[in-house]
Amino acid sequence: MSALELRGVSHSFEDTPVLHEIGFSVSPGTITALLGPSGVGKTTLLRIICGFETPQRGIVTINDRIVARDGESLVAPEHRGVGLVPQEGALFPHLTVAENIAFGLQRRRSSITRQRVQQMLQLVDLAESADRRPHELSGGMQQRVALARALAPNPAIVLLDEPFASLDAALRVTVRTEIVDALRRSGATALWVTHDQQEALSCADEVVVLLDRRIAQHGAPVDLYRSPLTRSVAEFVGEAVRVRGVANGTHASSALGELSLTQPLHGEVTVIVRPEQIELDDTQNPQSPQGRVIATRFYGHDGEIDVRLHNGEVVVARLHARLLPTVGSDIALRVIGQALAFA
Amino acid sequence: MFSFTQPTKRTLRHSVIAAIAAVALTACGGSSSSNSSDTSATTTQDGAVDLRGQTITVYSGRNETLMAPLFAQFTKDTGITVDIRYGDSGEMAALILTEGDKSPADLYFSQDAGALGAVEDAGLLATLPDDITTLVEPQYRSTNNQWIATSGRARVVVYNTELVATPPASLDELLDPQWKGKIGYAPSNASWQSFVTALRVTRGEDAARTWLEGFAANQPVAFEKNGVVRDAVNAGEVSLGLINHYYLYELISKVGQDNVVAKNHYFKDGEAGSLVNIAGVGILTSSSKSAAAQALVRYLLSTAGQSYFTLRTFEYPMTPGVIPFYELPTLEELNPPAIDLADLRSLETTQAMLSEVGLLTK
Amino acid sequence: MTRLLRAPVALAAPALLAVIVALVPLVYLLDTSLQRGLQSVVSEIFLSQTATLVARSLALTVVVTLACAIVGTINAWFVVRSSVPLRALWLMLLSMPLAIPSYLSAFAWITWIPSFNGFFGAALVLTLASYPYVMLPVAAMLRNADPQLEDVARSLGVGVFGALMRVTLRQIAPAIWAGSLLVALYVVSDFGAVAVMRIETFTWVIYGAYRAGFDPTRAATLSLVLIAIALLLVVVERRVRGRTAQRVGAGTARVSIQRSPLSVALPALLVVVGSVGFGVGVPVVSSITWMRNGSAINWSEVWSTIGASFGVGALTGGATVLLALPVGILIARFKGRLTDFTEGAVYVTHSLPGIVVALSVVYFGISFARPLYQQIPLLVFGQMIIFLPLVVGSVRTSIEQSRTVYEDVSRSLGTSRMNTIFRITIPLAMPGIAAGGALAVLGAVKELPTTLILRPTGLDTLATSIWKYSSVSDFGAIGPYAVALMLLAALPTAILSTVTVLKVVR
Repeated sequence: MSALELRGVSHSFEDTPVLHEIGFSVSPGTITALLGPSGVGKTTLLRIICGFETPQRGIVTINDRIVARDGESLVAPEHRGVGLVPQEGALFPHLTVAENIAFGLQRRRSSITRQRVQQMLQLVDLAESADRRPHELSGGMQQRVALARALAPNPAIVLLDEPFASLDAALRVTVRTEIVDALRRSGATALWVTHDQQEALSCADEVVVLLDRRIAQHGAPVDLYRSPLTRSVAEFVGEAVRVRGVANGTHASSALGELSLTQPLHGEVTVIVRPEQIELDDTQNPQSPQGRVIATRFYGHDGEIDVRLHNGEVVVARLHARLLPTVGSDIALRVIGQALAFA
Repeated sequence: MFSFTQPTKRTLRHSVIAAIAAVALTACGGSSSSNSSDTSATTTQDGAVDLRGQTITVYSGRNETLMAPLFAQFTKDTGITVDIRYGDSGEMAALILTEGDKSPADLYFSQDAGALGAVEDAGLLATLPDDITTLVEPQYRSTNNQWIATSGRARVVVYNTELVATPPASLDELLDPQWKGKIGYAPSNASWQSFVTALRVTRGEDAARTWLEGFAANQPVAFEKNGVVRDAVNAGEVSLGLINHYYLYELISKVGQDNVVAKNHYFKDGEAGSLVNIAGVGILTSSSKSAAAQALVRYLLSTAGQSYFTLRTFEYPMTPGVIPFYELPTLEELNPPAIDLADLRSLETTQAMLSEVGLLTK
Repeated sequence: MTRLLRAPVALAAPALLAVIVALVPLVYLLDTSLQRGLQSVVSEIFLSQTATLVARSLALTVVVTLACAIVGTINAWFVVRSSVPLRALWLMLLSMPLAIPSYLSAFAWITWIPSFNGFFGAALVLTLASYPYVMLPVAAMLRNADPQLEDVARSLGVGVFGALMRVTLRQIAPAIWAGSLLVALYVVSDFGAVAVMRIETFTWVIYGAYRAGFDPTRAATLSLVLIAIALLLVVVERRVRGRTAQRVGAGTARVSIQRSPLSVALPALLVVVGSVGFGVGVPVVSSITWMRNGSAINWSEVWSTIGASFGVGALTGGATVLLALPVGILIARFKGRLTDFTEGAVYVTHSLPGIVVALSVVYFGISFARPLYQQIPLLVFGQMIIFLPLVVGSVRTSIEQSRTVYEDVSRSLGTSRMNTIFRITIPLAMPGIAAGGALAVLGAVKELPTTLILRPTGLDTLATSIWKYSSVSDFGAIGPYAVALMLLAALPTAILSTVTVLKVVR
């Protein structure tokens, strides 16, 4: 049983292919993030799931019912049971908050509807705003109403399309937490489209990475971060420090020293570690890689330094704020944990 | 409305009309009963009983303010209701031509002989019975007797008596340099264009063009309407005006003779300048109520109808029984050009020529 | 192509009906002009005189359209961007020429300055009568235009005027073009002003063919040339509109309009005062003067005429909106070749003079709608043909401005496509729909030639009454009807201007 399943979905606009052989499924009650850079076809995929586009090839299944197959739409958008939360919420400007939430409900004037609207308002903590107009709400409140509106008819799956793109950074984290809480409490299934890897990693049960029109990887956030299947996933998900190396099975030698690899490999490789894996080495070990600090960036609770290694390669290390060295100092480094290597 | 400002005069005139109408009706009744052996007259008499309660539709190119009282009187007298559509004479003709044999109109009333001729040419007018056609002189009805004039209007030169001692004696004298910039005319007015059409018919295209070029060289002053030309002459803004005869009497009845220094001058020379154009009617072939329509035509040509035109608009009556307004020369004295009025329908060619010599458009 | 086929039948069917409605005059024209054979059509069209006429009509159209684009834009800028007090009042005053028929305005001018006839007079009267068609959409767009762009331009060292020309003008260009198309089509079709000012344009000759030539065949042939001119205008406008920039970026622009102080706006104020004074003042003062010089007024007749005008106007407004809605939605939401054709067909008819449209309705009505012939429904039908493009344009623009995402959300919430149109598309486009309806009402109240021919026998509207008395030069009697017409039309004009620019309806 899956709330949503795509198999071999391919689509192109005129002669430009936008999606190639997309296949994944979303289990009921889970949140899946669809992560990819801008312009990779995420929105097209969303529109295909909603039914506003028909995929030229492949099968789309919602709640085990095939809704589109090979260039043919079998179920109209309004009968697919998907709840859409678009960018900026797109609340109907001519309706009040309560009317927006009731929009998708049958018999909009019945007491059942009123109860459901109340329930949804409480879910997103906006019980007092029922009679307000969308333009009287803050951006975050609008997003919460948009979620409540999508959830009200009890959809098979909620689709969130870059829901926080237009919110400012400080507000974004708060609203994100509120939305995820509401989704969790309602037990809804959600597919969450985003280009923000932090958002994807922190909110989703599973992440589907869409790169170059294809699915690059599908897995739990931790696996994605720790065991990316390709170099591009590794570089896209989380920050990556890249150095040249030579692998001899379980280890690779590089300007960052001998590094233990997550997977055995041989020959010339690109070694990738995360900035937080690189630490200052104060053990005076002569084997430790040496370098000179060429830039520092202070973020408050932590900071980053750019270090030029002896062979000229530059690496980034993330350090606790009080450990930040000054620009120009010569330092020794060490790498914690295993490194990724790609041929 | 010229008569509204002079209630006493209006009352006077209405009582005159009523009196004449009463006399005329008596006369009509008398004549039809006396001619009971005549077939058409019998039809009329029998019809008069049958026609009561009938409704006929008239497409009128003549103005409502003028025609409504006359039609109302007709209904009162005959019991025949008249539905009247008012519009531009030419547009009404185009309407009838488009409607063809399905036209709901029974009768077409036009300001202008040309428009009647066009509808006749399309075969949409029925031949009028002899008892109607014989009421009017042949030159004031179509050769096929499919339309007939109900009133006439003469072209005149209206002049300001304080500025002009001797008005021009002929059309060609209008081209004399002494009148340069002193002649008023209404270039978009249909009666002016009819006059030019008559000029083309009588003198030929080339001679007409030569006259028009000479006229244009004399820098005539263009006005929007005939009435404005008349007012300009009376006020001395221009010395002469080329208009129809009745505009002067409208002014006199409105402001009184004492305030009018303008006077009509008639050429009486058999030329286009003496043109008598007509307003007239035709019955449509598609009409299923031709008897009632004929009753209306008879009414328009009756003493009552003819007197109405004479007294209300100072137009020329078309039947011999009614005398023109006393200041007017008779139609015979006018000596209008001997042309077939149906020839006036080449109005569009006239407009093209006027445009070319710069007298119509810019 | 495929888009229209994919459009719901409930939209495509009425849109098809609209096309048929718009094609009524075309079929009439083709059939009538071919009555004397193709040869005579060809020879009529290729008369050397025709070329001169086309040139003169196009010259008038270009001059008036250009003047309207300039005057309309300046007036729009003044209302939206200057710090003039009583903004809404100025907006309404500047819109009032829409309430004044061109023939009345021309008449007022020519009685005031008789030597004012000809090309210049016609151009002036038509400009003063039709600049609001540019002003209203431009004002609406100026109000929504992103003032930040101007700020950016100024920070890059461009002066106030330069920023206006290089940035703002680009932003409002689509509105200028759309308004200019309506002006151009109107100028091509107008006869009222042209007749009074005596300039020999195409409509002059077409009316001449009816009124003086009694030759519907020739009139129809010449009208086909007019259609060709209109097609040209529509194609040009579409090309240019395709190239103009639209606002990028999501969301509505934050409206924090910088108002220029009146001292800066002084040159614009001159244009504004000129527009109101000459465009509204002259006809209004003339009408009032006529009324005061006239004799006793038959008020009961005036009142019944007002009733008739209002009734016909309301019916036309309602019917036209009903037909324009599906067309506007289709054009805005289902772009494709067939919808392009639909739009083109609807617009081209707008270039035809009223008498041609009226006779085409006669031509069909007499055969196929005999019971309705010379009844209100056919009169409304004829006026609907004329005013359909105004309403379609208004509806289209406002639907294009509302984002499709609302409709997507509605669909995903289980609402069918048709229900979405009723629950989302139409409510969101309400300002445009109301404005379109007001335009149709205004048009119908002022309309004369179609009304004269198609009205029920005996029905007098304000416009026909003005015609009735003006043809006997009874200015005193015209006065009350002219004043009543302008007062009656002032209400939809006020609604139209405020709704278009200030978006009062939500």
